[in-house]
Amino acid sequence: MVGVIGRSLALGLALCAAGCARPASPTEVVAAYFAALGRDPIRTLPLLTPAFHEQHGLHAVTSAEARAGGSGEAPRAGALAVDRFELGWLAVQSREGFRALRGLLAVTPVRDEITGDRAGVTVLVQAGAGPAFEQRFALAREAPGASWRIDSIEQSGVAPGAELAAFVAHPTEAERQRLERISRAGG
Amino acid sequence: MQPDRGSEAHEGRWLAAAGALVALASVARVHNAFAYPPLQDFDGPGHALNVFALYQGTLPSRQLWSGFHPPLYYAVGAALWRVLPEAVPVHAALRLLSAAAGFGALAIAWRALRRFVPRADAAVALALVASAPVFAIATSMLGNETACAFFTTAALARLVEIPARPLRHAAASSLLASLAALCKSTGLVAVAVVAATYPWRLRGSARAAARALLAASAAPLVLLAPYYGRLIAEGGSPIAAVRGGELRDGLGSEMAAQLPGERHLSDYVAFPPAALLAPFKEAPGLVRSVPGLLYASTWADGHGQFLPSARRPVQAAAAGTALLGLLPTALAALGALRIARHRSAYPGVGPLFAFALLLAAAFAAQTWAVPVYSAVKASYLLPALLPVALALAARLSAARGRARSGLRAALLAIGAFATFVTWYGWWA
Repeated sequence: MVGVIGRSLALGLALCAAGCARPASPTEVVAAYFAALGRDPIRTLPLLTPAFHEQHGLHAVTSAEARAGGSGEAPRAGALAVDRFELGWLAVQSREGFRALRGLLAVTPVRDEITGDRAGVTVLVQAGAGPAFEQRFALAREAPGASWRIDSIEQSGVAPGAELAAFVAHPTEAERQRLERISRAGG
Repeated sequence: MQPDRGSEAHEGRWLAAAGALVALASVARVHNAFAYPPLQDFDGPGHALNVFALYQGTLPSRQLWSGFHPPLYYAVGAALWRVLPEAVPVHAALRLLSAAAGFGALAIAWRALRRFVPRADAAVALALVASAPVFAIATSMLGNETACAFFTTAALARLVEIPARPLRHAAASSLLASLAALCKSTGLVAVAVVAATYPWRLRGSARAAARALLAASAAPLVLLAPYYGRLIAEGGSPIAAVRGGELRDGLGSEMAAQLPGERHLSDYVAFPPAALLAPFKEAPGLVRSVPGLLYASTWADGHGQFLPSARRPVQAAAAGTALLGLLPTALAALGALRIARHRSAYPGVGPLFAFALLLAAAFAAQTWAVPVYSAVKASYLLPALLPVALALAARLSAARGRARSGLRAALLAIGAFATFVTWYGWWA
């Protein structure tokens, strides 16, 4: 009986520790993003805001929509429900080879800054011996003490040869379409 | 009469061989949970959003891609997400949950089968079920099907041992069936069979039968009516409980766009050779044939969701499991006939086979109402694994001497080959 109570208390404490832990810092959220990207896609979901999903623009389409054709551009903000973007975000990470490509990325933190409920984190990303590029994360939280979530990502300095690495580090619909066009043109 | 020691040792060897195959199948599922790429599972991203909704403490919206599924599997998955270390990817944890539920169902079936057949025959039959591609792939994927099969098997197994005063027994059985229906709508068939079985058993007394019906109806009314009532009210039709693949702001339903798009009665009779020789939906005639695609998704990966169907070694291996599957399929059919002819030797199994028939009828109705290839998945019938395993074991136990040993050896060899074929990545 004592053992059962002890185990229950331990489980309760573990659950409390999981639920009552201090919110991760913006740098830790970015580290969690890269740790989960491609390896554990579901775990990326709580790290991201709806605005982030609208920014990447990856989205699920029905076959009827695919047949009807589209503009070929990423949908504008507010045009689609967030769960369509979430489905697209998860689906792109399920693609064959995505996890392996993510494994090639080396991520080095450069700087971070917090201003009230907004924060910025900049990292350098490099795939193997390829050229490095900068990736800047904008994060937001709803109130002091709330969890930080990634609101948007900007990349700069993406040199030729680093496009695929840049796509894996921050998959977007626009880049997906561009890479697909290049792939088709290359046969 | 005491069984002779030589016979016991002989049975012990078969038990050990069947146990080794189940152990191998379990290892294969753990391997697959981590090796199969994230979310390539049937409707993987859709299931993932359901888990995410529960993780955030809300029920999945009916308007989500897979939002029509009931929440129990996702709630357990969300709890696992909370407690497991980050070293375990959430999708792998969900797959391991599927595997645990599937093997849990087999453990319950093992206990039930031993009432009717020798242990070695029960073990061989269940080892084959553990390795059959439909079971192997379902327990390698995240999704709610094996959780439904687990609770359904738990409920059905109780129906073969109903006590003389069964009110508490009825309440517990209907609770288990209701939990099955809280995992997947297929469980509603188990709820109906459980609710009918107890009053039928007590039909000699109208009062006792009515009390049994009340006892068996409490859990469904409390647990299921609010959930399914809301689902059907929001969807505007009972089909809303089984139909997904729609985007809240999308053009058309994904399922409505799939082939064949309409059904003919001949679709339920046609069995193209491709079901055996090229068991993937791209093969000629397979998308239209309900029994063909059903067979191909039982003994191979008919929908090509798990095995890479474009690779030649995979095509050959899948044809191998499909051809070999003819033997256990025939044995199970013969076993069902044997049970029907010798009902007194299998007391209390009527509800199990009534369930299997009702499930098959519901499956046929669904494939008619939703005429697309993704509605023809053998994994939808996994809740019937107990009656199917019983039929297979019954036919095995009817064989004698070398024929019996030969059949046991053949089934274990087929299971070992199927376990190899469904070991993710062997083709690389």
